[in-house]
Amino acid sequence: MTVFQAIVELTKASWRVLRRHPCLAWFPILSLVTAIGVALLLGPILMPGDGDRPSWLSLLVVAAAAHLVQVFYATALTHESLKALRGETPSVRAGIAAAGGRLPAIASLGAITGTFGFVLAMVGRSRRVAVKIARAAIGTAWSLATYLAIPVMVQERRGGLTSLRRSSDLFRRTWGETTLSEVGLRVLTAQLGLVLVVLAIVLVDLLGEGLGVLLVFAAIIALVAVIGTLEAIYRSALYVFAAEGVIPGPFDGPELDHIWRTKTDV
Amino acid sequence: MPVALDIDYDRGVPVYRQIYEAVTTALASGALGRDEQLPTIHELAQRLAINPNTVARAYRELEQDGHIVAHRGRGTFPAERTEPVDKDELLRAIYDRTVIEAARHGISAGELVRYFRKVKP
Repeated sequence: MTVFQAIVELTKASWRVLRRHPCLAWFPILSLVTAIGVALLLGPILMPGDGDRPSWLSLLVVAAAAHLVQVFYATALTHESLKALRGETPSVRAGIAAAGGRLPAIASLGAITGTFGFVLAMVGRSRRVAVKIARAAIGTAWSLATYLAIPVMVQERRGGLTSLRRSSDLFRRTWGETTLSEVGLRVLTAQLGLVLVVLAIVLVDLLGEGLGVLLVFAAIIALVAVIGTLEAIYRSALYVFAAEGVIPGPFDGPELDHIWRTKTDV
Repeated sequence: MPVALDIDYDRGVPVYRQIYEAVTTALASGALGRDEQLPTIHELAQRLAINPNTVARAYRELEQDGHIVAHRGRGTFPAERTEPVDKDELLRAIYDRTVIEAARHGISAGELVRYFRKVKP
């Protein structure tokens, strides 16, 4: 099985879960809407209104708030994805309630990942090629090592720091599957993004700027919702494989056998 | 189910294996009686908030190893023992689990043995 076939099969398995529980797709949409709301709320308070450039601190506060919103909804989505993989019925309300009960852990995880992301972004501003390469390598290693932090936080009820530690421990057992997921998601996003660009050109040409742009905007939101949800479902399945030692139902089939490496006895 | 079943994610042992060990320990110690029914896969999965496949795998391996028997329509029960328990095998299993647990707390097997000698009844 090629990497591309593996990505297709994993996406199909995640899609089956999403089709059965379409309410899961609401979490990325709510995340986006809440983040925009928070930015609109904090913007006028923190940004100068006289045309001056906003201070670094103001931008940092807005970015931190948006990041916390994103972690909050990712926690809610993961909670409900794990439920869906157990054969239970997920709901938006239950997911938000579960995330609401984990606010200290969400805050600590968000603070660590947000700070690291900010430092990486600052380093990335350098014009030196060696620094840019180092930044890309560290960023990739960080995203792989922290890949399972949210499922760990949800399922094992850990705090932010211990979830990150446990995630890197689980990554050592599932590095192949995690890397496949990361690569797969980027390939899928790039392909769908390309389709979206073509669609945008056609729609604006056919319907004019007003309606065309509106439809393209709706397509972008739908894309964000679907990809975000598919990734959370696969991430939850990968966590079950790494921590519990089994492949959850929707991901267990002959066409997916080659993807899961047989090391559940470790 | 009279089996001490607290999942310890820090042990680095897959959850299905922890269930397997909890049931065999309960059987060996007598905490789980020969006529006591084990919870269904869904009951135990729900109680532990884990995937049903995890419990199913633990039960499957327990059945394959002859520890439990699943009766269609009646539930899952400890298997009838036709031969006496091999005490050496049982002691070895208890020793292995104790050494692993002690190592998690930075206690060596030697320290453990010295402690057992010190507190011998």
